[in-house]
Amino acid sequence: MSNSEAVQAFEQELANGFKSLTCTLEGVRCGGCTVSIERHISGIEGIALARANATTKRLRLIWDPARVQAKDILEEISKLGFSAYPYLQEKLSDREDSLLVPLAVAGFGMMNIMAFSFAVWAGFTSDMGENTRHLMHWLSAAIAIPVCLYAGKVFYFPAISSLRSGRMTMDTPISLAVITTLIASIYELMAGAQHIYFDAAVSLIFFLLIGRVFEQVLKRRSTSASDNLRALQQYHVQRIKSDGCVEYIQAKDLVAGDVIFIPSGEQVLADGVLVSDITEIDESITSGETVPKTVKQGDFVLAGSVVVGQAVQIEVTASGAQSYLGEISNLIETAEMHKGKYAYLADKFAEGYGPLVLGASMLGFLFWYFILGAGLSDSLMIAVAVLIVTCPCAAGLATPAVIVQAVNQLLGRGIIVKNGEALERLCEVNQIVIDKTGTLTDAMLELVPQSYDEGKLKHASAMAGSSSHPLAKALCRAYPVQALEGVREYPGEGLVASDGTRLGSAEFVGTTTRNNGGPELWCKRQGEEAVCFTFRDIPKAEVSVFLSALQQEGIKVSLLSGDNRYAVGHFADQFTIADWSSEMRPEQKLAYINEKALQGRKLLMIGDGLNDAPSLAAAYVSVSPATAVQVSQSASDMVLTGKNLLPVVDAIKIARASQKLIKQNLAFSTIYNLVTLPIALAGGLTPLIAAILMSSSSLLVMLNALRLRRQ
Amino acid sequence: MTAILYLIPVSVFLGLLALIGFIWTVQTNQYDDLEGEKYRVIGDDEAVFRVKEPDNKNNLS
Repeated sequence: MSNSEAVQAFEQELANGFKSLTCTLEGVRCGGCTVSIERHISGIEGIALARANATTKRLRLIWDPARVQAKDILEEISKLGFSAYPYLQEKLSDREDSLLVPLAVAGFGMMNIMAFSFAVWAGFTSDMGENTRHLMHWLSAAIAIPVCLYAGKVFYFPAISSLRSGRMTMDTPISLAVITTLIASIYELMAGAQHIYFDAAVSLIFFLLIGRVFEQVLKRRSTSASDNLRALQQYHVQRIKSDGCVEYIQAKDLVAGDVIFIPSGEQVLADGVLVSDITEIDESITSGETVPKTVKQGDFVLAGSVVVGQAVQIEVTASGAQSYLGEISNLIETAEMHKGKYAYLADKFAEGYGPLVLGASMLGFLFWYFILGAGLSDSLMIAVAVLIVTCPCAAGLATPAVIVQAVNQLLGRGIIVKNGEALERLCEVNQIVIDKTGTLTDAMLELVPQSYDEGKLKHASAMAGSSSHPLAKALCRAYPVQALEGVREYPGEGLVASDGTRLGSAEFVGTTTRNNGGPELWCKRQGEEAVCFTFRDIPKAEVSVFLSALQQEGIKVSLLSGDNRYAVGHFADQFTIADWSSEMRPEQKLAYINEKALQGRKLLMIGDGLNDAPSLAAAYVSVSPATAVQVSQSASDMVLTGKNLLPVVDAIKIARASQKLIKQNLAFSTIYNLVTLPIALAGGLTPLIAAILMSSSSLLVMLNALRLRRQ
Repeated sequence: MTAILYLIPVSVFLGLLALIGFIWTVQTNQYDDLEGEKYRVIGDDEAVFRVKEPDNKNNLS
């Protein structure tokens, strides 16, 4: 956890002088951990409130700044073995009201009206008088009308707004069914008729709201998980003011001309020009290159690069279309525009269902009233029965239930699915396009195991101990020894020991370069031949398992990297990936994706760098690891919370299982509708029986949806 | 028979009480953290909440 000034930027002052802060907790595995943090922190002197939320993994703190400081609190948390990252909730007002309240109201209405309906049905077979029956009907109406008006809003408003844009969604037939039933029942009530259908109208709303509640829960869980991820990344920069003082501001508040200070090991958060002398930067996140680049005063530095050499000052250049970031944003926008609308199964179902059912209902009414000469009551009853019995339960109820379960399971395995529809696309995937640096590799280098002279290796490693250059660090990792004293570092070139040995680039050491382009360090002792140490990317531990699992699922793998030919080719050989390309710029990756899409291939793109962002937006489905740049994470459909790639295979398997269940449900629903619609049209159903049939089919579909077992 | 005339309002009223109670639980965000509640209930120590959160809505989710 970084220093207290950075935390201060997240703190909020309260009216009574206390301060408040919300944090994301990292390292909590279960609710027990969160609650024990809560208990422990509450006991600290000066804490007014420490309230954890085990579901969203957040901690809300309120404390008296006179008695305790934020950094002390955070330190206490780390003593317990967890980390807390401050978190700024930006959009408080966007949260929509919980659908639980309309659901409760509909439930209350349904149960009470049913009580009256039961009385009336019992009355048909015994001796309930007409006046009593009228009383029951009026009571039902008194409850039904406010309930339908309030709880039904969930369907009416979206139906009206989509009708305005000329489209029909699931909400349209549902709203029409409810309102028609309500109006028909009121009409029948006024006419003193025997049958009213308030119970059917309210039951319809209740069952469908259950499905909506599921969808809302799903949306909230994935949004909060994504927000947590964002909090784990620092977006504060140190800006150097004109008087020389340092202040912490948010990266998005930077303007051109600001001078910012980037400590060694941290990411540059804006495009800029180097003001300090010289340093090395790691551009792997923007270009895929694993070898650090030396930059001198006046050189351009891209946002996203990591400073691996000494700390520097950078002057921010104008952002906007000219910056690299701006270019990427433009590419993303274009990609998203051309992506086209994917017609999800549920939407396809709705498009057919809506007009069909409404048409059938209307035709039924007209047929019975005009052609067969039935009374207005009877014709209305048939029209209403048709509307009610043809239930959109498969799409409205069971599909969200399946998707909620699938997304929950995946969340537990370390992959956040941002929207349920991505799962539907995921099961069609037949090819994976994957980036190398940061995705398949840990973006660290290792010494290629060869037979080096041990004495030379030891000496070189001892020299390298004092440098923070990635290649030097990799050398030390391979052969850890005590670092030598008196080694001079020439940034960007190499090291010189007190005995004259040189360790560094080929030019620094004074030999002819071996032209394979891979990362290498040369070491030349005085009077001896120069020795070359070569390095390579460290692949992640699970790469072979990952690739063979994909092969088992029948998915082709393509490697697209921005890194140089040698590194990528070597990596591809190591894992026998046949299809690989190197030195790819963002536009080239995007072009590849588009070309394959035109050929009809369904691509899953996995990438983390800025240069992957447009491709992530354009691909059929996309995944990025949590270590990816913010832009890439926003452009992807799914985000891996850890560094492990295996959850992607889990996701594909679960997506395929979910899709099977969803198709089963839709098939059942179609058959159900095809059978009951003719019966209703023929006058064989009263609205009540229609409502019972509709509820039973809803329940059946729900139970089937719950069959998504742990994979 | 006339018993119905006052039994019905009574039962509807009771139902309304339950409904209002449920709405209250939703408004006070009691369903925001079902995971955590499981552990708080079985905990040994007493709950320590000294200050009521001034801004009740939208805090923890």
